[in-house]
Amino acid sequence: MKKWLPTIYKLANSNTVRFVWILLVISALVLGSGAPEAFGGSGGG
Amino acid sequence: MILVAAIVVSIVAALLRGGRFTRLVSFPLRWGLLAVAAFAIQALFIYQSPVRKSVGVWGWQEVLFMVSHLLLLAVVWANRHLPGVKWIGLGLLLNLIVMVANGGWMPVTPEAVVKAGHTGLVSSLEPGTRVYSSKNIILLAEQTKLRFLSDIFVLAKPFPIPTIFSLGDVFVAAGVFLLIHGAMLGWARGTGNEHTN
Repeated sequence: MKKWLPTIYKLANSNTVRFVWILLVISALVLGSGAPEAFGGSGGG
Repeated sequence: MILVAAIVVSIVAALLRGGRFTRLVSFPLRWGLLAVAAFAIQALFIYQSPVRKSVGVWGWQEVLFMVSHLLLLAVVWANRHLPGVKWIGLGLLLNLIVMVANGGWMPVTPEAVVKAGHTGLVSSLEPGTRVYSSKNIILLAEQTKLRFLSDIFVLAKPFPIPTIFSLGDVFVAAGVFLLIHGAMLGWARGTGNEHTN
């Protein structure tokens, strides 16, 4: 397990992961505050 | 749908104005895990099979649903210094008020559901029916308290993805536009080149 820690730490601090995390947080904040029909509002009728 | 559109449009607009993704990466957004957890709680109810509810009767689901919104208010408060977050907070508060006034769900009329072409998301158009993949519950206009704050705006076809939204959603959309713009253009402290120490 210990040998994986540096890799996990490096990954968690990578720009890509941080970028995805920020987008995830903003999306959660926005969709949680408003209408999350945003995700699946295509409907049927 | 307007909220996802607001996120996409604001990213594209910020890029056109010289914004950078690298600034977004270093954006000092606090308590992010709480926001994700709060939305995860909501998702449990949003994506459950549509069922009929007794209008105005509060159960544990409604209470938990409202608690998730309070958690989001805490996230908004912790980030109130960031651009656009106050607008998101105002929208959240307006949506929360109308949901609390109507039994914990966002009211929408059967007419609006039909107009938006969302009849495939409901088992019936009877009052008290939950709308799948949304926070909505069908209520007649005359049953709805604070109707002006409920989902009364409909973007019907030919709009590519028909949608129903509230006044609160408009504030949230404006807020996220400013938030992403602010993040990518470095309007907030600690978001990029102006960062010093």
